[in-house]
Amino acid sequence: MTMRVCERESEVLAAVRGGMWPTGCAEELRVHVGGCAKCGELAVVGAAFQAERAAAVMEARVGSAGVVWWRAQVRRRQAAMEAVARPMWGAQMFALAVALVMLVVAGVVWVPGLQWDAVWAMVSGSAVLLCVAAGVVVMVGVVGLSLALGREDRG
Amino acid sequence: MTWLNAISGIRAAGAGDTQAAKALRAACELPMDSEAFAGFYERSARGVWAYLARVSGDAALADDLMQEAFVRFLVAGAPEEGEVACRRYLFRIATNLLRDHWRGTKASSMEGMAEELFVAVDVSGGVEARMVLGPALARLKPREREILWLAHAEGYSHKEIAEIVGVGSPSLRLMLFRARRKMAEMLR
Repeated sequence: MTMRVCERESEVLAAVRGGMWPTGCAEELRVHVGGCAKCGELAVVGAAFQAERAAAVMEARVGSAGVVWWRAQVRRRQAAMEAVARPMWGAQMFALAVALVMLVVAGVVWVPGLQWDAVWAMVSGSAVLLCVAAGVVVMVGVVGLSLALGREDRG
Repeated sequence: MTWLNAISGIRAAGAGDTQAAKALRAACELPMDSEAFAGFYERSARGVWAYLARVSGDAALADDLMQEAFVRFLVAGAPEEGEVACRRYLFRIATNLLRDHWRGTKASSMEGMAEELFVAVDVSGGVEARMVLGPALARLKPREREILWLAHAEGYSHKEIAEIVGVGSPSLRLMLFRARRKMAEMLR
């Protein structure tokens, strides 16, 4: 199967697309199409698809643009909500993990039966860790608060 | 997230607009205003519906996919090159939706599937009965129907069709040549 190209294809296409085929175009072009297999195919197929499109467009069941607009808004809003919820969930999990670590540390520090000197040594030793954990919790809280405010503002 | 409710109370008590709120609001804005979209929809919807209905052979499916195509067009963000590019992008979305639908119906390569699977039975008898090209279209492969419609009903160039259906331009030329010959033989 060879792909032969005819130099008059564009003329035939223009005539078909412009609705001038076959009656509105030059006799000379009609004669050419009659003798050129490639242009003949173009004319037959092109005219059939143009007629089909005209029929299909007439029977198209087109709904309201407003409904489509509203659906797009809802979907975009949902996508934005999900994008916000993802880091929020991560922050909550992180805060929970930090809180658990702090509970474990506190439990180790306040084991009954320990001498106060030893306890104080442990507390003072872990105070830095406690401060860091508290700082992280505050930071996560601030991030979560700002995200929540953004979510509420948008809603 | 119950603590979020508490935070919303704090906000209601006087917290101002934040950067995050502005960014989020921008993320929710659609790329066209509603009036511009209404005009674009009015000019494009019938053409897209015709494409979907004739390529799928199913008017009800065309109803659903056309709406979905416009929603995705709005959500994804319209191209900035103007209405011609927007329309081309819309046809690309519609083509992908058709393909997703067919893949969902039969999970395998679309090209290897029997053509009969793509010819939906319209129980109302409406669309099929009115189709001028109906029987001939039904005997083509889905991709052949797509490219022939885009070329001869919509008047897209080879380059534009290649972009819409997602194939290389040289392959597209050959596919279109073969499909057109097949169609011409059926119509003669």
